[in-house]
This record gives sequence, C-alpha cells and structure tokens, in this order.
Amino acid sequence: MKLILLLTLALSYLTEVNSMSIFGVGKTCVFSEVKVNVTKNGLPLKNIQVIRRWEWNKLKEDTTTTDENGVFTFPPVFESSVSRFLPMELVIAQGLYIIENGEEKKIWSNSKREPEENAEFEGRPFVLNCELTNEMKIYRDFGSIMRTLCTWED
Amino acid sequence: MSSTLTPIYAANLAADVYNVKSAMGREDFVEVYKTDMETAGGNFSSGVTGGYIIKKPHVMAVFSAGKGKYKGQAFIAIKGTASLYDALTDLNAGVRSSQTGFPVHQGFHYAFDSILIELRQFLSGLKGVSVVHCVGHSLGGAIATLAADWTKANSAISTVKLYTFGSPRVGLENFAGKCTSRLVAQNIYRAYHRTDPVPMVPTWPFYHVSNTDNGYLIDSPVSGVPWKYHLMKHYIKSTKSHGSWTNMASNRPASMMDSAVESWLKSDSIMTYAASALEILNAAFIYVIKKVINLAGIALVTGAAGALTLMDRMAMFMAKAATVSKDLGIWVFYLVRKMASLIGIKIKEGVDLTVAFIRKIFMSMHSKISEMIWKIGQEIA
Repeated sequence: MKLILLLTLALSYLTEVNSMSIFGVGKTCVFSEVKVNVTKNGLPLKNIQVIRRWEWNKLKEDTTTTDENGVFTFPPVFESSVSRFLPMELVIAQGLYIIENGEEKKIWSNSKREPEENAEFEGRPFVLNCELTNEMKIYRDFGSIMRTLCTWED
Repeated sequence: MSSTLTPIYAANLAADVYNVKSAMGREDFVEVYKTDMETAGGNFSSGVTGGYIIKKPHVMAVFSAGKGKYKGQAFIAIKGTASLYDALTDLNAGVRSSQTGFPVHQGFHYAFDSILIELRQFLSGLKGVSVVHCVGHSLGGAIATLAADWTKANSAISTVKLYTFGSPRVGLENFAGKCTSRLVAQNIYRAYHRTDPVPMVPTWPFYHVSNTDNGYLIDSPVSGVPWKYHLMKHYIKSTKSHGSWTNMASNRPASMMDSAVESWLKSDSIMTYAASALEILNAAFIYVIKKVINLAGIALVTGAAGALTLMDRMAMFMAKAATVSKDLGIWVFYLVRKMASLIGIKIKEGVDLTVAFIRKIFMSMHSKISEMIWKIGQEIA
C-alpha cells in the first residue's frame, strides 16, 4: 500500500532533515543580494532611482540609486510565513525597475521558486549588467520565467 | 502538427500558472504566452475575449482559447492554493459525488465546484475548438483532472487531454475508471517522480487517473529535502531531459507477479525500507483487496452518502472478509500483519481481526503519516 511507502519516505526524510540545517529556520529569502551595473549606450547611468519589488504574501518594495559608476546594490531580504510550513510550491514574484525621465522601466523580473539565497541564478551571485538599449528577453534557464534586458556571466 | 503538448510545454505551463497570483507574475505570463493564447492578450480581468483568469480561495486558473499554432485548441491551466493541503492527509474527509456522478475526494470536489460557473461560460464561448488541454501540478493537477472529466462529459469538445505533474489521487476506483474511459487512456499524461510523496496520497481506496498503469514515472533519488522532487523545477528539468512522452513512458514499472506477492505476504520477515520491498507491499494491498472481492463477492461500499468514513468502510470490508473463510482470512491477516509491523506492532496468527482492531491499525498508520507530513513541512520551512 502506498500509505506505507509514504510513511517510510517520511521516516527516511525526517532522519535526514534532522541531521541537516538546510535553510534558516522559518526564513525564506524573498530577494537575494543584488549588484547591478546599469549602462545606456555603453555609458554608466549615474544617480538614477531604482525600485526593487517582490510579492510573496504581500507586495513590498525598497529603493536605491545608482552610484557614479552606474552601479546599484540591494541587500538580501528574508521573510517568514506560515505558508512555508506547507509542502507547496513557493512562488515569489520579483522585479527590478529604474526611473528614467520620470518613467518607470522594468529591467528584470522573475518568479523565485526556492527559499535559498541566490536561487534566482541557481546559486550564482545575483550580478547583472543591464544595458538599457537591449530588448527584454525571456529566459527559462533557471526553471521559471525570467524576463530581462540584462546579461550575466555564465 | 500533433495536438499533444510536449512534456516540457505542459510542465512549463503547469509552473507558469503559479505566476498569475501577482500582477508582476501575470505580466510575465502574458508576455510568454502572447503567441499561443488569446487570454494572454487581454488584461487578465475575468472574462476577456477568449479566456478567463480565475482567482478563488482554493483555486487559481487560466482558461484560454489557443491561437497561432494552437488555433482550434484551448487551455485550462490550474493551480491549487495552500488552503487545500488538508485534503492530502485527511482521509476521513470523505468523498462526494463528482459533478459527473462518481465519488471523488470532497476537498477537490469543492475546489472544482468553485470554478465551474466560469468553466461552463468559457466552454460555451469557444468557437471551432476541437482539443482542450487541461494542465496542473500538485493540487492543481487534481482539479485539472476534475475539469478534464467534466469538460469531456458536458461539452461537444471531441478531445480532452490531461497533463498532470505530481498530482495526488482524486477519486475512488469507479471515478478513475470512468474518467479514464471518458478521456481515453492515451490522452492522459500523468507524470510523477519516484520520490515525490504527493502522488502517494490520498491513500487507497483512491486511484489515479488513468487507472491503466499508464503513468509517466520519472526516476528521482531520495532527497534530504522531502518535497524536492515534488517541485515544478524538477519536473521541468526531468521533462526537458526526457524530451518526449515516448521516452518518459519507457520507465513504466513492470507489473508485479502474483506469485511473488503471495510468497512475500506469507513471509514473516521484518519490513525493510528498500524500494523493492515497498513496491511489493503496495502490490500486496491491491492483491488482497482483489482476492476478497473476487472470492467472497464482498463489495467495498465507498459511495458518497452516509456517516461512515472511508476508514470505517475499509475496516468493515477487511473484517468481513476475514470471517468468510479461513483461506481468505489468512490473506487479510498477512496484510494486517505487514502493516502493523510498520507501526511497531507485532501480531500473531489467530488474533481476532475485528473491525475495531483493523480500523485501529489503519488509523494509527494514517495519523502517523499525517503527523509526519506536517512535521516535515515545519522542518523545511
């Protein structure tokens, strides 16, 4: 009976999980640490406003500006939710936007499906080069839909 | 072109329907499917031309007419929500008669019921569509199964195809049989990883659709993260690496020989957790049930009505079988002995297999499983 198979799987899983600290208890990384280099026609885009948004259970955002070299960074964000206590698909919508000439422009979006930090790029650091004259493209390299005009090191 | 979705297309869609929960995710969904779906051109308000985006407490779904290379086809992509998770472990929740008249798990029944009005409207508005693809992962797969069954039974659509990934069981044996014959087994693509626990629940007497052993089993290792191979990311990877449904079908498990099942049941050996032993245990359960039904003619009444739970009925069925004849009783004993050994109870030949005793064994096992599922959820949070 599959009931028993499940019981057994549960037992073996429990044993392994107890001996491992896979994730911070109760914490889910909703946005990893971000470092982005923004250019337009190859030139750094200085002192422009950047918005980072994410939505797990609630839509949230923070902002920053690019520095003299066109670079902006965001620290990682962690949240807790009772829904992580359920064995279900984790879905966190993520987006990066810049404000140029008073207009908001999306440069990167993704659906984060795993709780670990840097899961966006399967463990690689979240470091992008974003040339604003590039077109937005769809990538499926990391599981779910990623749309961006940015590029990253392979 | 073939009107069957490729494994990777179906897996991506099952994963992408999760995106529609947020405005940011919907925008990406629209972009990705703008050449394939009418709905994707809309603004995602309910009922835009050619499709619907449904947001209900237990279900979210995209219903859309196809376009471009999917012209003449339509999509029903469904995701379940957290509020449905109780259904996975609550075998006592009981069954309800489905919208097509067969017993299904009541949690899935009510979830499907909540989108039925929109589904009806969507289907009645379709023009020139001959194929509908129903897609879903996990609980979404369960509801997609009910949607496929209903669509085939209540519309003029000639072909309804069902694609599920890591779906739990939806209904009892007669639902599984009727749904399979309605859709035709070849139109059912049930993909599941060997170590995904969700397809193993709810436990017997629930049956998978299709009921013809035509599932698409994908090998996966036991992982330290219990739900790892339930996640869409891994189904996407697996479908990508297999490429076609034909390749995926090559892994179907061979049927267990009755003689092997019999000699295993008779042995008093201690249960080990090897995969081969677990497979034979599953086969043994079905073997004993069938033996009872065939030899004693006892029906397992699992209808929708009445105050008795499935557990009650299962225990009554087994206990009655045990009293019919010594020959039959011994098989029930063997099976109960194997199950009892898993929860640390040793029973000896001659034990009185009463309804209460059998029920207690089943319930102890079941509550232990439920408890562990929730505990695992907490461990990984």
